[in-house]
Amino acid sequence: MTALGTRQAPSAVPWLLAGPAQQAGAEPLAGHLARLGPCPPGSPGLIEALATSGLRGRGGARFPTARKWTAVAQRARGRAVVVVNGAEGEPASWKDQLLMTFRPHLVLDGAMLAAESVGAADIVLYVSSGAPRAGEALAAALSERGLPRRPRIQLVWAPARYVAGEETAAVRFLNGGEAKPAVVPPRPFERGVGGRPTLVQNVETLALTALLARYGPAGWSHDPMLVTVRGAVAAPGVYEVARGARLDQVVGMAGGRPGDCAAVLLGGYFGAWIPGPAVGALRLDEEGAAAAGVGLGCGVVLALPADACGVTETARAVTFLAGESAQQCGPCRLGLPALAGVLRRVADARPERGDAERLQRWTWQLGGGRGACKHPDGAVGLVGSALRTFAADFEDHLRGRPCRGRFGPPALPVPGVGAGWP
Amino acid sequence: MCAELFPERVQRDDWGYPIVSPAPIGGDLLDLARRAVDACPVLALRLERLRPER
Amino acid sequence: MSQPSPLWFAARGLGFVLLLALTGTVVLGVVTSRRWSAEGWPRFVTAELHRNLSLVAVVLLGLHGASVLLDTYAGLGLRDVLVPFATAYRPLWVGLGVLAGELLVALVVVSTFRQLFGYRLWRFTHWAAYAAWPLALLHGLGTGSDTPFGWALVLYAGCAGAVLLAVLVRLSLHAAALSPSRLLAGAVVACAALAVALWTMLGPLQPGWAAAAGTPPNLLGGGQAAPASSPSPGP
Repeated sequence: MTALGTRQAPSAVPWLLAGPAQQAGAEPLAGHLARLGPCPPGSPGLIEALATSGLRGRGGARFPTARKWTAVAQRARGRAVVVVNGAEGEPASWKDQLLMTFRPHLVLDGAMLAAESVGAADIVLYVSSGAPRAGEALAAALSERGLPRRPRIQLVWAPARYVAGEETAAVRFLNGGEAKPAVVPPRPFERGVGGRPTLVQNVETLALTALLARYGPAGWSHDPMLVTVRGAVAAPGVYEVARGARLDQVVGMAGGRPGDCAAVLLGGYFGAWIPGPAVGALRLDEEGAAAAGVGLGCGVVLALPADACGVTETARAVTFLAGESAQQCGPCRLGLPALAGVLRRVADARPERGDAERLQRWTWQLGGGRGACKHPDGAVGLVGSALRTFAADFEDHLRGRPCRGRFGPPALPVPGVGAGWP
Repeated sequence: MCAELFPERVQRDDWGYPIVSPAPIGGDLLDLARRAVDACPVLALRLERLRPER
Repeated sequence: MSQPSPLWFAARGLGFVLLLALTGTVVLGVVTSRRWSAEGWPRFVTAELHRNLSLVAVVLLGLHGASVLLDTYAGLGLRDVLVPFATAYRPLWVGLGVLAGELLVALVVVSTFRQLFGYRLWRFTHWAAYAAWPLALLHGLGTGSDTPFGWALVLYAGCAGAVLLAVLVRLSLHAAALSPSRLLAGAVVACAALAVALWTMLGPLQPGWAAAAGTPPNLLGGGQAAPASSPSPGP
């Protein structure tokens, strides 16, 4: 019986991305076990280790993982459900797909650890149908290991929509409904899939747990996170950084020049624009993010080239977000499309009278948690940060003076929204 | 309609949806709040008891 | 042959007032759903008027039922006013009234305790309540000893017109105004209204209706001062 924390952690990252290169495909079980050793069994001791290490979820909300597991374990009575959330709806993020495709055994280890520690009878691998390779890799890894009788494991394809990865949306879908966030209580840890206490955990968090079980909390100094770096960088892709890495260092890792960036989008489309000058000072940990008034989100680091137009990119992102709304509340159904419309007009430097006031007023009205879920809050958070970071550009556009970047190549990967608005 | 009944804590956004102020409600305002909660045809409002800080 | 007591006439009068209250409730309900407001008349006024008028209707219903119970002329007992179609006096027509009354009570109970019953049940009951009004109308036309009077017909026609208009307005709510199902519903309602009008002329307004409606023979020929009907018992 392997005990917790008997393995030596590498002195530097990468931890998650250590092992064979991507070209080798998914790491097979033999290689995984040779590299990391057998996985210790889950237990309440692991939940304590999670608490000691301070691990936070990597799905976007950064919620303390130990608290989530404890909440489910207290109610589980052996019947809980673990949902491995691989629905990654954020278009700019690729880290979860990467983990599922190339390190499936890490993910599966994490899922088993969760099931054993909280007392679950079922594991559901909830994978975006937009990431077929990821699901196939997980399925292949499962057959390598052999399906256990308990907990039961199954793979479910999630709709490839932005909000499908939200915790309550996943539960609702698995219960036979639509993949839209649920408006009312109960929370999943009380009653989720099939009415049973449910732990919905992001893929990266589970992979990290699989490492924590081996290295122990005492060796958890680096608390790594995966970032998807793209935009004005020479080598876009997923990188692994230790806790507290500076944002400019991260951009540099991918071959970008932070000094040349107009701004960096941090977190995702529900995140925030960091102005160029502030990039050097931002440390990627809870304290650093809080000091800058932003969140780490799901680790998207998008460097906006100096000649791109922040107003245009924000308009594209919000147009996308408006189209991805679950249509369950007024602010999302009516407010977001209207906000996107104003942003597009301003990006075209053809504002209507009152648009400047509308931007301010609607950013206030549509926020504050008034929606059926956090979707409108994310969108207005992005717009608010854009208004601050690109204040000079907004002023120019509102005066009818567009910038050259308006019709340049799009910087943000936004499905369905081109440079000329469809 | 709730903005009509309880303007002290409920405003409307540009699409007529209520913006509810999170400030605590006490004393005389409680009756008005209850009336607004009762009147909502879709039961969208809820009155929650605030736990006292310890 | 017993003579009709004041309570018997009171019951009939209350029935008409009740129909007026129900008509007003339905109309106000539709105005509420249209979210109409004006300077000095906010939405909640309409909404609360609708609610209060429905409560008045329940009170009137209670008085209407009580006076029918207490009156000895037609001899209706508790079972007759609580169980539809159980009575010997014009069973079908009285039964419709009992149904309508019970629907009204159910609706008011569910609405009062909406927080308990939940939104879905409340909405369902409200839609079912649309049936209460026509049931009440048919009850009045069929049972009502006053049907042949001119003033009664004017009242019935006025109330029916108001409700017909309200229902058509309600069907045209929101953008789905011209969807096929709504057009069909509107056509059905309009035809139903015509059918009722026709039936009234061919049924309750014809002589001999009282007997055809099931008035017990010992009551035929008494208690009615209607000029148009000469309820002479059959040969």
